[in-house]
Parts: sequence; C-alpha cells; structure tokens
Amino acid sequence: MQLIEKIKGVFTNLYDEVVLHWNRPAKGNYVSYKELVNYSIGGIGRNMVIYLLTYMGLAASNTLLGSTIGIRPLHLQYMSIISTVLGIFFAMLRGKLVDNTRTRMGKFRPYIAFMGFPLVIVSLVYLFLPFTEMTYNAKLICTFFFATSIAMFQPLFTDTYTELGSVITPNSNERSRLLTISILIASFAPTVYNFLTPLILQWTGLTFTNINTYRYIIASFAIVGVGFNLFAAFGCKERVITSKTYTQKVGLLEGMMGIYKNKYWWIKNIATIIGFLESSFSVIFGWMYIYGTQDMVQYSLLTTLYGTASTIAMVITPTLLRKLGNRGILLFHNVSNILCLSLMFLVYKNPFLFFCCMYLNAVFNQLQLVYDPVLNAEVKDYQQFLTGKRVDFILGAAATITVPITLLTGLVIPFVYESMGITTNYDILYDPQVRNNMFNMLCMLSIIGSVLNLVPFFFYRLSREKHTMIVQVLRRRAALADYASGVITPQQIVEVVDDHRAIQAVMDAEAPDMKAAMENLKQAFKSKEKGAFKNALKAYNEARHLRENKEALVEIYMKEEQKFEKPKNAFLLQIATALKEYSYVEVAKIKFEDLGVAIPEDKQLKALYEKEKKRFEKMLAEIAKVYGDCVPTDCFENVDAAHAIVVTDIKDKNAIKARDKAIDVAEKALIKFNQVFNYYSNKLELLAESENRLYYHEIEALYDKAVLEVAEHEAEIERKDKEERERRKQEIQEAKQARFESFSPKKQARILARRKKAEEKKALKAQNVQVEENVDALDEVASSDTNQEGDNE
Amino acid sequence: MKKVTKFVIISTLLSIILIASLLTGCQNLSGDEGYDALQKAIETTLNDDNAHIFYYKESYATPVPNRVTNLVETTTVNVLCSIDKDYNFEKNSNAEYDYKDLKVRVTKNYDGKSVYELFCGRAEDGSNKLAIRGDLNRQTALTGEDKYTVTDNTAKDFILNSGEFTPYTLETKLAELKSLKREDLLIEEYENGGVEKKGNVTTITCKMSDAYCNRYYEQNGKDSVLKGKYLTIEMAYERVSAITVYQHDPKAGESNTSGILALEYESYKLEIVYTGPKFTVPHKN
Repeated sequence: MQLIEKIKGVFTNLYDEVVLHWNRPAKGNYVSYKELVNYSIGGIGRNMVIYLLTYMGLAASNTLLGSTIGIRPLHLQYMSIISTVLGIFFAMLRGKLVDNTRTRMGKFRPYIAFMGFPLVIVSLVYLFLPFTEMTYNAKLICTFFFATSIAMFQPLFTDTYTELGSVITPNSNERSRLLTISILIASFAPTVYNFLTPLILQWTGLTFTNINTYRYIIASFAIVGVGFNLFAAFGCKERVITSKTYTQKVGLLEGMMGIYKNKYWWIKNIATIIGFLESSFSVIFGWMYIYGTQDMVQYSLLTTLYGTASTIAMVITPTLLRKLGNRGILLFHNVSNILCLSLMFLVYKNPFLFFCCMYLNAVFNQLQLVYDPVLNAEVKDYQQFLTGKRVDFILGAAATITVPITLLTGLVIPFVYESMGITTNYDILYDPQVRNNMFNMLCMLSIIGSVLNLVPFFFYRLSREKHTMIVQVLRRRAALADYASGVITPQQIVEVVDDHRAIQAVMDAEAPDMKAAMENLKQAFKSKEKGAFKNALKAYNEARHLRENKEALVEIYMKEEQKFEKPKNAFLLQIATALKEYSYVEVAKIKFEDLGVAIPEDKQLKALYEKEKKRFEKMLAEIAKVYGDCVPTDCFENVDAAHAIVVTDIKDKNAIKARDKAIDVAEKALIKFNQVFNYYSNKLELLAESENRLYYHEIEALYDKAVLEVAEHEAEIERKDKEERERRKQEIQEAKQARFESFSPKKQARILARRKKAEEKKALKAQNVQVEENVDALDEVASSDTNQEGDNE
Repeated sequence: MKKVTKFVIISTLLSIILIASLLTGCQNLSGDEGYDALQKAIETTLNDDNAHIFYYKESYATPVPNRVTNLVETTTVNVLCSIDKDYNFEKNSNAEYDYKDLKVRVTKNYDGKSVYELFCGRAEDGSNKLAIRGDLNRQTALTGEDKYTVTDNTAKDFILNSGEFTPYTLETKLAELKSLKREDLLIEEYENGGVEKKGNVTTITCKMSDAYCNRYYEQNGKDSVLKGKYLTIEMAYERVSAITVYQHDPKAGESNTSGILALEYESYKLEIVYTGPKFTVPHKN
C-alpha cells in the first residue's frame, strides 16, 4: 500500500510540475513542457516519414525495390555506390546551405517544416509509376533517379531535427534530459507502425511484395508523419548563444591527419570494415515470414516484441561496462554475437526458435547504444591528448577514408543473393529449398563476419584507467594554460593537485604480482570457502586495477612528461622559440634562415628541418597570395564587434540582414586568417605548452587556500539549491490553490469532502496499525512468559 | 603503433582476398555447355518428382503508338499443396497429382486490369470438391463485381481431366524451349551473347537463328515468342527460372544504343518458381 501511495505521489508531483511549467520553463531551464511535447511529436512524425523513405533506400535487402519492383541486388548495390560518391559532394552542399541559412525561423526549423512535403511527394510519384508496363531499364533508371534524389535531400529533413535538439537549449543537463524523453516518445512511432502494418496486410490480403502496400499503407503513415512533424517546426525555438571569445577552429585536413594517428579510432573502424558480413542475417526474419510462414499476425507481434530488446540492453549496459571494462564489454558483445548467430544457424528452420536467438542477439547488439557513445568520447579524449586539439565533427569526416572499402565490401552480399538465385524474381524465396539454402549461407556469412569483427578488439587497450589518466593530463594542461593567462579557478587548482598526488601514489606503489593473485584465487576456489574466495577475488581485482594504472602511467603520463625530451619535439621547440620573437605582421617578412636555427647533423632531424622549412615557406607564399604586404591585425576584434551589433527593432529585416552579413564576413575573414597563419599559431601553442609546465609548483602552493574556497563555494551551492527547492514547492502549492479557487463552489465542496474522507481513512488505517502492533506486542509478552514458565518447570 | 599498423595491413589484405575470392566465383561457359545445361534444366523442370507444383508469371508486352507505356498482358498460375515440417510436398498417394490440399489459382491481367480469375481446390469454409472459376470481362472488373461459377470438381480432376488446365501447364510453356536444337541458339554468333555461371545460377544470352524463326512461322503460322533482338534464359538450381525476350523499341526509331541506355522492351517474359505464395479459395457462390 505504501508503494502505491508513493507511486501516486510521484504522479501527482509530475502532474503538478507539468501543469506549472506547461507554458513557462522552470527557473534555470529554457524549454517548457509544451515545447518538449511539440519536439517529441515532431520526432514521431519524423520517424513516420523515415518509415517510407527507408523503403526508397538503395539496398539489396529492400523489399520495395528488390522483391516488389524486381531490381537485381547487384544493380541496387552499383546504384548505391554511385549514390554514395554523389553523397560526398551533396553533403558539402548541404553543409554550406544549412550553415548559411539565417531566417526568422532560425537555421534548422525551415528545413524541418518544408522538406517533409517534397520528400513524401517524390516518393509517392515513384510509387505510383506504372511498373508493370515498364521495361527493366526504365525501372532501373527511375529507381536510381528517385532514390538518389531522396538520399541527397533526406538529411535536410532528418538531420536538421537532430540539430534542433542540440540548439533547443544551451543548458547541457536540460538538453540531455529533453533528448532522452523525446527519443522515448518518438520511438512510439516505430512500435505502432511495425505492429499495425502486418496486421493491416493480413486483413487486406496484401503482402510486402505488393506495390499497393507501399502506395496506400506505408505512404499513409508518412503523410500523417509530415503533419506531426510540423509540431517541431512551429512549436520549438532555436536558442544559440554565441561565445564572446572566438576559438580557433581545427582545419578539416589537419584534423583528419591527426585522427589517422589514433590507434583506437583505427581499431574501431577496422572492426566495422572487416565485420561487414555480420549483418547478413538481418533479412532472414522478414523473408521467413513474407515468403515462409506468411503469417502476418505473428510477424506483427514478434516485431513489436523485438523492439523491447533495446530497453533491456539500455538497462544492463552501465552495469556490464562497470564490471567488464571497455575491452571486456567489446569482447563480451562480440563473443555473444558469435554464440547467438551460431544458434541461429542451428535453428533457422524454426521461426520461433530463430526469433528467440535473434532477440537475444539484439539485446547484445544494442549494448552498443550505450557503450558506443562512451567509448567514442574516450577516443576523442585520446585524440585531444595526442594532438592537443579537440575534434568532434571531424571524427566522422575522417571515416570517409573507409568509404572505398565499404563500397567494395557492399558488393559481397548482393553477389551472394544473385548466385543463390535471387535475380529479378524474389519469388524464388517461396521455394523452401531455395530459401533454406539462402538462410544457411547468410547465417554462415554472419558468423564469419562476427568472428572478423571480434579480432580487432583484442588489440583495444584503452582501459578506463587509461582514460582517467588522459582526463587528468588534459585537466593539467588546461589548468597550466589558465594559470599562465591568470584565469585559473580554485576548483581547477584542487583537481590538478589531487590528480598529481593520485598519479604519484600509483608511481610509488609496488608492481602487483598477478601470478600470485591468480594462484590465491585458484586456491580459494578449490577450498570452497565462500569468504576466502570473495576476499581473493577482491585482491585479484585490486591487483588488476593497479596493473592497469601502471600501464596507463607508462602509456599516458610518462609520455606526457617526456614529451619535450624527444629530439623531434625539442627541435620543434627551438623553431617555436625563435618564431616567438616575431609578430604576425613581422613573420610575413622574414625567411626561415632568419630564425637562426642551426641545421642538425642527425639524419632524421635534418629531414625534419627541411620539412619545417618547406611548411614555413608555404605559409609565406600563402600570406603573400592572400594579403600581399598588408597583413590584417584586427580579425579577432572584428568578430567580437560583429556579434556585439544590437538590432533594436526585430521587425527591421534590413538591420538583421546587415548584422548577419557582418558576422558572416568577420567569421570568414578570421577562418581564412587562421588557415593562413596555421603554422605560426601551432608553433606558438607548442611553446606555450612547454613553458606552462614550469608553473605546477606555483599552483601546488595555492592548494590549501583553494580547498577552503571550494568548500565554501559548495556550501553556497547547497544552500541555493535548498532555497530553489523550497521556492518550487511553494509555487506548486500556490498553483494548486489557484486551481482549486477557479472551480465552482459545488466542486470545491466536493473536493473538500473527498479530502476529508481520505484523511479520515488514513487516520483509521494508522489507528488499526497501532492496534495490531499492540496486539502483537501483547502476544509476544504472553509467549515469552509461557516459555519462561516452561523453563522453570 | 607498429603492431596496429601490421594488423591494419593484414586485415585489409584478408578482406580483399575474401571479397576477391567471392567475386571471382563466376565463370563463363561455352555455348555448347550452356545448351547442355539448358537441356538438363528442362529435363529436371519437367520430370522432377515435384514438377507438378509451380508458380509462374508470364507476360507479353506490345508497344502502342502514341502511348508512353506498352500494353501488357500477364498470366499468373499458382499450383500449390500443403508442405510438411521437412518442407516436402504432402501426398495422399503416389498417384499423379494426388497431393494433399491441392489448389490452383489462375489470374489474368490485361492492361493493368484483372480480367480473369480461376480458383480450384478446398475452399476456406472447408467444403470439399469445390471448384470456383470466374470470367471477369473488363466491365465487371471495373465495377468490382465477382461473377463466380461453382462446379463440383476437385483440383486433381480439374488438372488431369478437364483439359482446361492444359494451356497453363509447364509442359506447354516450355514446349518450344524443349524443341530447340543447338544451332537454333546463336550464342557465340550474337555480339553480346554468352553463358555465365554464377553460383547456382546459369544465364544464357543469345539470339534465335533466322532459320529457326522461319521454320517456326511455317509450322505454326505465327511468329515464335522467342523471336526478337535477343533473349536471356536463366536457370537456377538446374531448373528453368526465367526466359526474357527483348525487342528493339519501335519508338526509338533508328537509334540503337546498348547497355542500360538500350531502347528496348521485354516482349515476352516467363518467370517460374517451384512453390508459390499461399492463397485461399473463396467460398462465394
């Protein structure tokens, strides 16, 4: 009963909170509940449109283009290759288009509002083409034209919705909360259409190989989706806050070259490339029901059930990640995949057993929904540790290097389809012998793919301990730089000194004897004593943790400490020190020889000297080409000035346009300036990093004072939080009272009577509990008396 | 880093070898080998134990002056029976066509409209010996009225004894292909001709010889459906799976492009599979 009361309380509070902040966001937040609901409904609409657009995708497993229209699997893959290559150019075009969009609605919302219609209309035009009267070549050309057009413009509709999520609020905590809720609500759409479509098909006698399924059923969902999508376009706001200080952007090429030095990035990408066969099995379940059992009711139920796999995965992943570590979870996921796929291989003739294995496989596969972002963030931190530059978007762009291989590997599965009998007539899958042969082959390919996918992860050594040390190193770099520029905070001082002491403790600790720890564990296991084994396991885990920390020390901390002791870096520092003597304007007028750096005798350093000289001369040529003799000195100030322009009348289109143009021009000038002086800026950064290291002892001297300041600050935050909680409680009470007063006297009386009744009931219940307790106590006394009498006897 | 570099190189090479070995799985056969494969495929198609169960789509396309699309006439024939858990066709006895729950469905479409529908077999209400057939003329197809005639006839009787099913059998459909001699197929002689074997699929691309076309015309008083610019015969799992005849599109005039831009149309197409989609026989009167 207490639980029910608690649940009731939670829902009442939730209701009050939503009512209170329906139109007006809570203090410190930016988004009201109304806006959150609008964004989520928009997400439902987006998913419904995507449902149709997915069937316009050039993939051999596509039941519309393949099974229904009869395009050969290999032809679909060839078209996909052309489309992917075209996509690279269109991605640039789209980026330029969106980045240069400045309308009253914002940057992304115009696309969300207006791109859904043309995409659905183009899809509908395609679906209503007279395919039965068309020749194969005509079908092929039309499919390519329509599918490619949709693929090129679809991101303007889908990605802009995601981008809106990133600018809907500048508060990152609020954003992550908002995105979680909206994703949860938006995922309602696939649950509904995956459940309803097969049922409608069963009822109407249609199948997934009948064009009318796509023309009337799937297209209907998309049309409704376009309508829903407008909620996000017109019911949300973009809230972009531009920084006063402009940070230098990392060049695309420079960033990409840096990423190619990141071994963990390579391991993850290689695993994806060589594991391309793993997904071969994905078509089996659909084909099993479309061509095998042809029972769409069962298909509908199982597909809906399949959707729950990700929820289980999301719940268990944090625990698994904590217990197994990074490499452990990667290996666990992939080994589980191999096992599940092997089971699928054994039971593919039984749809229900196959589904059970597939469900289990989905649970393991979906683990990556949670751990992938975590590992990606760690890889990004490692990248920053290596190059000193933060890259986010470029990490994805760098992956284009794998595109040629992906395109080539993409040919394998369509080739297998064709050699197993699927050419233009997918109806061959109605033949159980052909179908089973195909399933057999696809399961085997999936197992091969998953084994190949597993191998690279044996080399993945970016443990949590290493990542912790990377973060400590990055924090130290930032703190040193901030100390040099006089903006270090007490919090930073405490962190950096604590980190340093923790690292020192690891350094001083004796190396663990893993063999002995393992031997102890074995002995404890054999002794079958529960407590002994628990203690031995704890000792083993501690030893392992220390070993990982020691490894991290060598790979991360020592590397950082000895960074400038390397001959290469020491030589680069010489150049940087010499360059520091010249300003931006002066550096344009000197020669590399004027820096006074002697040509080293070492062969490798000599080559480095020549390389640096060339890069310096390239910079000079670029300066001469872009600026001639007149190097600008006010690029940074111009950007700040442009952002500071105030438009008093928001209806004054010309003023807004002029301000936007000024920002655009200033930003472009600064980007160009950074590009031209990239070599010079990088060298100054390197020098600053080496000089900043000397400040650590000065920071350490400030530690005690900083600890006190941090404690005071935390106490202040705690006090403010308490006040805010009290204020919100008060607000809710007031809102409740106001609502109560808005009711008619009759209703008020009814509510009061109900409240009184509930209170009476509560009091009675409390009374009963008291009576029961008293009775129990009396019974206890009576029984103890009886026992005592018995003992006396 | 060195270990990782080695690993990158090895894994890339392994992937390339794997892909290359898969993609080189296709081979070109000679014309004679292709002809032999065809003969064997026809033999298997017609004489296999389960040759009575099939599903095919046959379509004829005719260009119409002043119209963008061709006039297409399609016939689909689905002969189906129940299948046991080991995926074998269930039989009542070893007698011909004595399959369990044998059903037939024939549909005809003319210019995008359903014009003929025939069902035969146990109806969905469970009544035995029910044969339903319907002739839909274009008018009834438009109004959506179903005009079925119920006859007291089993599917087995209908196939074996009524004579009405004869035009729809695989023997009839493959009779012309069966009668072909090696010299009737111009495989090497046709510029884009050849025989390609890719896994379980063998495809012959050829042209019919003029001698064959003339002989056929003389014997039958009409042109062979195989006569055209060229044709492809596809065999999957050593059975005939598709025949497609291509004609030069008259709307293209003198233009004679090739490949994907070729201005041609499929004048005849027959696609056969050896188990079709499930269907129920309606029990309307």
